[in-house]
Amino acid sequence: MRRKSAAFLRLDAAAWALLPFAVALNVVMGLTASPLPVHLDSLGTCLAAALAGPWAGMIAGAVGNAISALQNPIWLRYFPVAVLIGALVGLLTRCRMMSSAFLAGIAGVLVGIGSACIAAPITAWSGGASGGGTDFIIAAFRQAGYSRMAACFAESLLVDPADKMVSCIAVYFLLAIMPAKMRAAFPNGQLLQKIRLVRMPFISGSSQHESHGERHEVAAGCQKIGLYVPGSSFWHRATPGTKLLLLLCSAISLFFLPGWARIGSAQHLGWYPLPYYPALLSGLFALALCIGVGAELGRLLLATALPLSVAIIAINGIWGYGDTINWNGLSWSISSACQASTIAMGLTLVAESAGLLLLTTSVGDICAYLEHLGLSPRLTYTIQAAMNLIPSMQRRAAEIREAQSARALPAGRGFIRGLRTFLPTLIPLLMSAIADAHEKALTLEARGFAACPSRTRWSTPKVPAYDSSLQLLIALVFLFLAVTAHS
Amino acid sequence: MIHAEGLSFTYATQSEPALSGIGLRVSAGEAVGIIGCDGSGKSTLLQVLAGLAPRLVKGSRQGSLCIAGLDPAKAETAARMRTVGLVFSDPASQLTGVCPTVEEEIAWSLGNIGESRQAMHRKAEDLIGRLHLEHIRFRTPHTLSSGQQQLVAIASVLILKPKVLLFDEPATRLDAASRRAVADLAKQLAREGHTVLWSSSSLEDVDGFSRWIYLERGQILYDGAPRHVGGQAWPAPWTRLAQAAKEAGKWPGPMPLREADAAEELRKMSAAARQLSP
Repeated sequence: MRRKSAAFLRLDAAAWALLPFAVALNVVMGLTASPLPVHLDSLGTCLAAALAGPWAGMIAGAVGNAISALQNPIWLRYFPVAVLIGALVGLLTRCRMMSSAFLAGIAGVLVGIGSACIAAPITAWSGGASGGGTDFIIAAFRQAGYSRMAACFAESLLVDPADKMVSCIAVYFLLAIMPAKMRAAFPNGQLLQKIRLVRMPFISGSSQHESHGERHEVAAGCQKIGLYVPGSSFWHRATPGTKLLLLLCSAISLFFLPGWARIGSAQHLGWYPLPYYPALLSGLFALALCIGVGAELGRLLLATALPLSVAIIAINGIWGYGDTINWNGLSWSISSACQASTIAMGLTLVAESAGLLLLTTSVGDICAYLEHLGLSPRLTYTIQAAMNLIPSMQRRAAEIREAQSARALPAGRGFIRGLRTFLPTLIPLLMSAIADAHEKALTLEARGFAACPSRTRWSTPKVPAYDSSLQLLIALVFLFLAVTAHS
Repeated sequence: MIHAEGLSFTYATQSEPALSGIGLRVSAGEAVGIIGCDGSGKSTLLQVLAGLAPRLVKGSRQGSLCIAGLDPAKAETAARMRTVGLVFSDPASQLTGVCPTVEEEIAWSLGNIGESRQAMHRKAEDLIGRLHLEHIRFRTPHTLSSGQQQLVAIASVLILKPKVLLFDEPATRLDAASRRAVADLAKQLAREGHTVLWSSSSLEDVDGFSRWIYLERGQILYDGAPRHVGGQAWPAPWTRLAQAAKEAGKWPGPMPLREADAAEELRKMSAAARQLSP
């Protein structure tokens, strides 16, 4: 009897061909500085969901988040948010919410509210800071007397709806100007046939007056995606499974490993640091030094874990509760700062473990291992194809900006002016991505991509003799820490 | 090998058919050039023959189509791939973008239809030797030149040993040397027994094919020997010039279909004129 494949695997070749482009778009938009006060790093997710349905949107969100985590492993905590955005846009498209710019804007606001409801508890639970510029908004709400959870909610509700609204409106414009034949190639093509074609007055060319304005700078070289540093150390040769086990144990340790102990009487309460996190952090860093990736891991932690840790400790320390001390003219809550530093150390440990995985394993090897464990080859194709598309999409975005700049495209500040500048760059990029996806769908179908749910791989992952011993050692170390911490 | 009767195809978004009343009979081992302007229906015809339309390209197909005993639109993927292979115009888009080496790229389709790993390695090895791709065997496909990428794309189709090979303007993005290499390979494949259909908007690309089909607005206007189609259906500028000269009694040779033939004839005429002059 033929096995019934999971719902998301029943997407057709057109949807699978679109996904790498959507994921690459998410990552490129996340890395590109936009003239708008929003990131648009879920634009690809919205596009995939609108053209190919909620499953495609969820996969685009999930894979996009996983690839973004290659730059900053801590972003992985927003994985459920990325998946939810794809699902919501897909469902709202089915409710005909992409049939006009106004409805698309409302859909974006609804998606933003939905994503804020998931993102805010995640941010609040993981220390009450995101490690980015929006932490200042959280701090402002804490200053206004909001609790950690309320401040995170307020910040998310302020930022997310605007971001998703712009993404959904941009996707609507793209659908409106896309040739009907191209739109029909994707699963939602029939659903989107009645979309109203609109003239876009605010991007229709530039006046003589505007041509004297500032010009865009052509983007500098493309950013390298992924952290992999080739090597031949024992850790490099270990299977991705072993490194994933370390990452999993580190993530679980967030729930049981204490950072500080509270000792003393009611009058003289004191907080004393416990050695678990420092021992693990320094142990893993020593491992990184031994295998030749110490400098790269250090840079990664400085760029990702340090800003987040500072934000978490500062926000919780300044606007915390319980005993306070004065330091640098500010009143710091000791107990809140200690708890926050435990969370910060835990997140740093996760970032360090993820760094040890990503610095010593190529994405291809991780995909091969996951496929060996039973992950769908279509998903691993999406990950690998998106990774390879990102540099070329960055180059194309730079070329389009250069061409628009040569046509004296206006630039400047302000939301509407930002839109006028940004959409003429964005729309050609999106259109070329869709056209490429359309052509790729034909070639994938011709090469039997949709033939069967499993695929024969060219080679099997190599497993060194010591791999299972290494896995046992990792499990025993964390088990020992768990037992001693609670004895 | 290919038998189509009253074949029509209308895209889901259009009311006018893109192909209309196509009747086509192609024998095994025949090399057919399909020529026509952009929008004449060449790519649609090849997509219908490859079973991609209406399987993936949404639309409705009328009429009957039988290739080596099966209808590609209804056949199972593996059976279809072993019967018809399609090479696209952009080699970069035909490559997966996820295979680290040329040999893995070539064998990728075999993995999709569940061939064993040993068979994948053996067949890739054989094909690389046959097409003389040893020098690029371990290179990353996207670092190759367009011509090399097109050869890898053809190899990735050939590895399934399809009876019918369809080439959808494969030389469009190639330089002159690569065009020749790819066209020579197609002719060699026809000599080896594959049925080859090659679409192009340039007569030069289908030079040497035994039969030409001229498409216009989704219909076959001419089907026959190259001289007949090239001379009457779609004369090149130099053919039109020669026709005008012949009408004036000033073109002694045959009608040139290729630019090189026209140049050669002009050289002969110029030499003859020099000999006659005092």
